[in-house]
Amino acid sequence: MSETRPVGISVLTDRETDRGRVIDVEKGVLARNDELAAMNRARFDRHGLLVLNVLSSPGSGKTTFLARLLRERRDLPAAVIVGDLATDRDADQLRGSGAEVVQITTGGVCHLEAAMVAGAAERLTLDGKRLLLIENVGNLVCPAAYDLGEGLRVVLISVTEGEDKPLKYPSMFKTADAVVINKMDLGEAVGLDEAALRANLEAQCPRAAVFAVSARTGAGMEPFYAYLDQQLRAGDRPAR
Amino acid sequence: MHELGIARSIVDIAVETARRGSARRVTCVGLRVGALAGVEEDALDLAFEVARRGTPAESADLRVETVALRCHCASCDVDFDVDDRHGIALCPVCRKPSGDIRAGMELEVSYVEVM
Repeated sequence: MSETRPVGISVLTDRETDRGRVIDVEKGVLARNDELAAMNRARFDRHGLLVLNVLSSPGSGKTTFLARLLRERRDLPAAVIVGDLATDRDADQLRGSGAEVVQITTGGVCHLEAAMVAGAAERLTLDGKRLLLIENVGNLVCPAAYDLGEGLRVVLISVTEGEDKPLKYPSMFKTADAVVINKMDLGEAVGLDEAALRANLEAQCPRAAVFAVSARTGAGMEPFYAYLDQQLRAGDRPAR
Repeated sequence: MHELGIARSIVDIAVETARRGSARRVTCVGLRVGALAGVEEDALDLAFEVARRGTPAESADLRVETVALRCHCASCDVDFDVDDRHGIALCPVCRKPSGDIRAGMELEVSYVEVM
């Protein structure tokens, strides 16, 4: 992020109108973020890291899920970047697992951006790590638009949120590589219709791998670990 | 709500375009917004009004062109527009859902009018 360069603009044609000139631009509004994300991705690839961008509503259990993953997969040296609006409570909880944790306090910004992740990665030792977990800000809308340089987008949804959640947030679920249904231990209490939820996921994101877990009890985590192992073996994932 | 950040980027691109074109001010910005871009148009309009203040785009209009979600079905080898309000993309031929997005995620400044 040290370089400061002007926004690149390709001026294709000029047309004269009575209101002045029309200049064709064709430039992505988030182009700068996408460039930085590509730089992050290249850097993470050089370190052989599998990078997860973990996304969900507030309170779906991202931190509990990641804490269990870090505790139960200590064989995978991991670093964690935690985005939080205002506190460092999540980072504290994850430090207990022994992983190297860096906190990004967004100060109210509703999503992480590639530049924030680049800055946080500077503070981490990436050499020798296999896994980089990025806990995004709890929000199912804004973070969908920001590529961070991750290899996998993992979206959590807890059973208390309703079976129709995948229908309400199409951009988030459409871009998910994996969906983790969390708090399965509460399924019965909240009258979860798991088949309906899975049908909605199949309709919205047919290519996403789906897992049903309880991060609190640990039930159902094994298939997710097998998925991670498979992704680690696959190594160089083609960029999306 | 990240529309203000997006509006600031739009204004930056527009002002930079005007500057490079040796124009004094921006009169209009043409924006292409995909159905799944995650941008709320009313919120963006409001944010744009705030972001343009004190810049050469101060009196610029924002003209938004919406781009439908377009998906591809691999088994039928067809592209199709999706008009389902939940973004459910069912292939018109085989009725199976598709997650292969070909358009509808864009958020682009397509043109800038300058004087």
